[in-house]
Formats: sequence, structure tokens, C-alpha cells
Amino acid sequence: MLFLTHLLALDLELFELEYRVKTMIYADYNATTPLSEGAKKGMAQAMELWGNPSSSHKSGRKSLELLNNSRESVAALVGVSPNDVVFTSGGSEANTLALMGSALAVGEGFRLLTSQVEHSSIKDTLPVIEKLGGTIKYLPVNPEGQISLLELEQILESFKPHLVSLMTANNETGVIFPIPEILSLCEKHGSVLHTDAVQGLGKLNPSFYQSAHLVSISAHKIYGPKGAGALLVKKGVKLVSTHYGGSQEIKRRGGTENVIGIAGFGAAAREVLISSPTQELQGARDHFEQLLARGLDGITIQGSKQPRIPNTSNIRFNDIASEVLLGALDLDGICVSAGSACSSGSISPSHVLLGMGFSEKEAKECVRFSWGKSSYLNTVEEVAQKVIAHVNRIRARNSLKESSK
Amino acid sequence: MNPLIQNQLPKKGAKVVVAMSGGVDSSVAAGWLSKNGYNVIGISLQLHDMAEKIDNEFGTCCSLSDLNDARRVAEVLDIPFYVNNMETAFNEAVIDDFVQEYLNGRTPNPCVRCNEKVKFKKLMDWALDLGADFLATGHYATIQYNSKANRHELHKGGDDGKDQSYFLFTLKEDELAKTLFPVGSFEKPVVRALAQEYGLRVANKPDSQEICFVQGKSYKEFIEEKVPPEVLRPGNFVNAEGTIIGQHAGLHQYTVGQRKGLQLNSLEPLYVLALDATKNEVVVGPESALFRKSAIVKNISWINEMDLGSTTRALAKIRYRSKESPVNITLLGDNSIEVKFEVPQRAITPGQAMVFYDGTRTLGGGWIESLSVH
Repeated sequence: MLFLTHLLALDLELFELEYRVKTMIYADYNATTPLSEGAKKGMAQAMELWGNPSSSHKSGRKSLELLNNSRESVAALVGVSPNDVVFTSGGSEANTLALMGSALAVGEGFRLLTSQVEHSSIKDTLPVIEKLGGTIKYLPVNPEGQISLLELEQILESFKPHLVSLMTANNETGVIFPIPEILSLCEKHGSVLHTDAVQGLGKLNPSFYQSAHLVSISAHKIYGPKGAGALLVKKGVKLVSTHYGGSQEIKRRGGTENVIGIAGFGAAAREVLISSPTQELQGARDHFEQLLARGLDGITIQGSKQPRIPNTSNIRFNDIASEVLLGALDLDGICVSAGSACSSGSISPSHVLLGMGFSEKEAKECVRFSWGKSSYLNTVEEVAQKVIAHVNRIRARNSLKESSK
Repeated sequence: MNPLIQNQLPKKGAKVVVAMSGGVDSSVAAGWLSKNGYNVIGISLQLHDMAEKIDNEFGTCCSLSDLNDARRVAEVLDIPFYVNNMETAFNEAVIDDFVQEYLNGRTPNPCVRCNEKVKFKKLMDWALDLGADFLATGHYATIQYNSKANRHELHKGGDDGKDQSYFLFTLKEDELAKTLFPVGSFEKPVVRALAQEYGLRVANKPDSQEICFVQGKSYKEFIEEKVPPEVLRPGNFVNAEGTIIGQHAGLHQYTVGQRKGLQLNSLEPLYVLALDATKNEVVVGPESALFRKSAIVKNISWINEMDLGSTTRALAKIRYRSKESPVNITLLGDNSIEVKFEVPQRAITPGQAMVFYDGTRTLGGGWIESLSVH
């Protein structure tokens, strides 16, 4: 067993090196991001402060200070009060807490309005809410992945939801919902607005989402560690905790805090606050899309006419199963993704694309490229070149197969 | 020794996609190729809800232990690994057919069908799309290039007790040219030793004994879960003269040659001789009546082109675990043949594959349709 552990350790160094010297191109930043040096440093520091933040003695006080420091940094990044920050284990827990916490606060007869393109942590909480006697309605999206404010207002009027949950930016297509406009409609009709801003954080000006009543964010999408996130809960919003057993996070989330992870979150937030090169990112993304559009027939870019976060391209390559392209690119050292990974690692068609009206076949032909820190113009050019070559090669083989039938 | 047997060993560095099931054979196939200088990629097909399901309040999810074994073997070998979900194709081509065959009073062989309709078809396609030169599997069979005839031939595996050429009879020579069976000429203990040597966690994993999708239950239970109860009607046991001698509990519970579970009163032991789906009858009789000399075989598939004259001599296997026996094959047209055995065979069973050999060479085979009147 020792032998195997040793092998793995060597592998890990090699993996880091591949990313740094760019024999591996990472284009899956919406899935997760590499840890920033600042986040690593922040966590290394926190490892020396192992006290329980709830203890009143010195070791506890030091840890609590670290926690509060991170709380301020995260709050500053979004532009909310530190008191609003409820640290969680990540975006999924924040989403679950927003929905379940609101449902439990209202009790029987809870009404929730959401969309069919939300993250699975929203989607999979809905049956539980229904089981508790809640009612759910969906706001449809058009084939571009966008909602209609007119339709929203009609449903707000007729359905009178206690909670509206609509994401800031879609993780698969990058399409942005108009949260400020949605918020004013919600306030007009007395509904609480929750927004999953996990993909917006660090990629969008906070004014796009900071004013919602409940906001979910996550550390590992902004070069922080996995296992740390937060639900931002504005003053006056009624929420019942879903984790019990302590008065941590002002009783909104019981359990000893993940101090190391939260320290990494705080450090990552401070770095993003100083610099977040979204302009350059958008330039690279747009360049990538132009290269593909010029180089290939039979492709469509999802949500291209909608406002999108600057780093995401979701592209359908007609008649090419995404897993084939994914595999071919991975063999070239290029990491991209498609659909949602099942527990087996096989790919199921994305519920987001199905929600936008795609057929199963169409949805299985879509690949997501999401860019980040290490993506430069020459990076996207290299990826575009490889994608074009693979698509042409696979299509040529397919037409050969067709003609020999 | 060159375990690929092929007189033309692929060039080092050739790109080979290995179909990995998580078992020791395909794991060692991947290991051998990667240790011998090939550019190896592991792929697995998810064919059904693998392994046991975990049912809980939050829904059902599969534990996928076999896929996980394959994945971890790939990681130890440091090769890329991908999974493709083929549940829909597998359900339609294999499971539905398996159930239907039982309802038709036949005894299917889903593994051959899976190789034909799902595995080799989809895997080869996927491998070539990934830019691979070869597809490799962990089967115990060998591929030989016959330079005189300029063709690739399928031969038996090196381990007599493990030979799996029977399951591969639907392959064609052009597919064989792009296929490798890296462990095909090894004996099982050698394969396990190699797994140890490569440090693979599956070295001591037991061989799979059952059909993958019915693990842990009987075929009867599996079929009863799949079809509405009214389809599985009780009917009559009859003897060879057509006299009713009892009641059976549904055709799907019987196979030719079966003795156990008939619950019939008789002085001599009775065996299932045939299943008649149109009359919903199970024909029973003495063991001696099970021995028959000829059968009609349909949907014949030859690996290499076959020149069938008026009659052709070959060796035939009537099921995976039976011994080969000499036969004369007569072409009937419509892709069917009549097969006459020199020695009577016990329990030739409609629905099973009959596979033909010339020495170690696998000629091809087909599906047993019925016992002919001769």
C-alpha cells in the first residue's frame, strides 16, 4: 500500500507541472479552478491556527479572528455586510440551505418559482420540497436559455411564490439572467429572491447579483479551495437552518467551521478583488468562437445573442457525440466538459440544454469550453485548431461509413 | 513469446483502445499493452445499472464497483480512461431480446449477442473516432494472420478451459484486422501473475460466473420482473405422443435438457425435450430422447469468406461448455444451414449459438433454430 501511495505522490507533482508548463491545457474553469498561490498561503497559515473558533481561550480567539477576516474579504468581494455571510461547504449546500431553509420557514403551502436550467443542487432539492407539501412552478427559458420578464411578472402575480430562485449565470451556457430587474419585480410582488451566483462571482460586476435577498457563492470557482462556500442572507430574510448542533454562523449553519477552507476562500476573494481580468478573458473567448465559426460548418453557439459571462462557450458540433470529442481532446491534453457526469463518469444529456428545448441527441452533441487565468489568445487558438481538426476527421470518417453502407 | 500471436505484431507506439470491464483479463490486456510500448487508452461501456443498487430516501444510485475497478486500474497504469453509457442500446439489443427469447420458448445467449450488437460495434466505432489503430479486449482467443490466404483468422485461446472464441463468432475478418486479444494465448494463472506484477488491485478478483445483468437472481426472477404476469401463463406438460401429463408454470422456467423442478410423477426420470411457444407446451421424455443428430441453424455468419460446396465437414459446438463434434453442413439458402452430427448430441437447444471450427480456427456460426426431422 505504501508503494502505491508513493506512486500517487509522484503523479501529483507531474500533474502540477503539466498544468504549469502547458502540456495540459485546462479549459474547464466552470467545473473548478486551480488553487491560487494566495489561497494556498492563506490555508497554510490557517493550518498553524488549529483552535476551535467557538472556544473562548486564546487558541479559539485566533481562529475566530481568521474566520472573521475571511468573512470580511468575502463580503467585500460581493459588496454586502459581513453579517450576511453564512459559510457553507460550498455552492450546493448554499443552494440547498436557501431553498430548504425558506421552505421550512414557511411550512406547508410553500410556493417556489424557479427555472429548468438551474444547477442540479437546486433541481434535486425540489422533490424534497414537494414532499414537505410545497408547490413548485417553472419559469420557461427560450432556446437561447433566457427568461422573459413579462412571463415572470405574470407568474409572480398569479402564483404568488414565497421564494423565487433564478441563477445569475448558467454554468453550462454562461447566459446571464437579469437579476436586478427580476429583483424589482419580486419586491413588487412580495417574493424573496434567491440567486445562485456561483458562476457570476469573480466573472461579473457584483452589481449583477449582490442585491438579491439570498445569494449562493463558492470558493473553488475563484481559485479558492473546494469545500468552502457561502450563502449570503440579507437582513430580515426568514430562514431555518438545515444543519443543527451549534450556534456557529449565528445559528444559521451548525457545525465547527472549515477554518482552513474558509481561510483559503478569504484569500482567494482578496485576490479577485484586486484583479479580475474579465476583459482579456472575453477577448480570448470571443476569438475562440470566431475561429470555430470560421473554421467549421454545422456548429451553434448557445446563447450567443444573450448577455453571457465572459469565459464560457457552449458549442454544439452537429453529428458528433460530445464524449468522442471530449476523449479526443483529452488525449491531446485539453480538458473540456459536456453535460453532467453521472456517478459512473459517463455523460448524460444536460438538463440545462433539454430545458432549453434541445433534443437528447442535440444535447449530447454540445461541449462546454470555459476559460480562466491561464487562457491566453494563443491558448484558445491552439484549442480551436485541435477542435477543428478532430471535428473534420470524425466527420470524414462518419461520411465514409455512411457511404459504405 | 509474443502473446498477440499475430505474425504481424503492431508497431510499438500504435494507439490501442482497450475495452476494460474491471475484471482481471481486460485489466491485464491493458497492462500488457502499456508495458510493451503501446499508446493505450482505456474505455468502459456502462451497459446496465452495474452492481448492487443503493436504495435510499433520496433515490437510487448505482455503486458501479466494476467500473470503478477499471478506472483505478487505468490510473495505476497511468492511461486515459473514459466511460460511455450504452444502457439504452444494451437494453434494446440484449436485455429485451433475452426476455423475448425465453418467452418464445428458446434459451438465449446474451453474451454473444452483446459482443455482436453492442460491444464490438460500438467500441470499434468509438476507438476509431478516438483515432486508434486497434481495439483490444481481454478475450481468450487469438487472431492469426494467414499470409498465404491473405486474411486474418480467429483461433482458439491458449487456455483450453477458458477459450472464448465461441462468443466471438460474429466477428468479421476486417474487424479482426483491427482487433487485439493481448491475453488470448495466456493461461489464466499467467494472467493473474501478470496482474500481480503490474500491481493491479484486481489480481485476485474472482471470475464472473453469471450473466452480468442478472447477477444475484435467477433468470426466472429476472424475467418475472420484466414482463407483466399475464404473459407468463401456465400450460401443459406433454409427452412425445402429445398426452397431457401435468401443468407447467410458464415456459420461461424451462430449458431443453432440464430435469430439476418439473415436479412430474413418473417411473423414469423425465427431461425437457422441447418448448412449444405456440401451444404453450413443454414436451418431456426420457433422457435417451435428448440425444439428436441434426439441427437447423439460422443467421449464419462466417468470419472469413466460406466456400460451402454441397456439404462441408467441420467441428461444431452446440453451446459454450460443450465439446466440439464432427458435422456435415448443408447449405439451405436464406442464410440457413442444416447441420448433421456424426455422434448424437445431448440437448441441442434452440436459441443457443452453434459455432464451427476447423482445428483451432473458428469458422463462424449461427443460431440454433430447431431440431430437424432427420
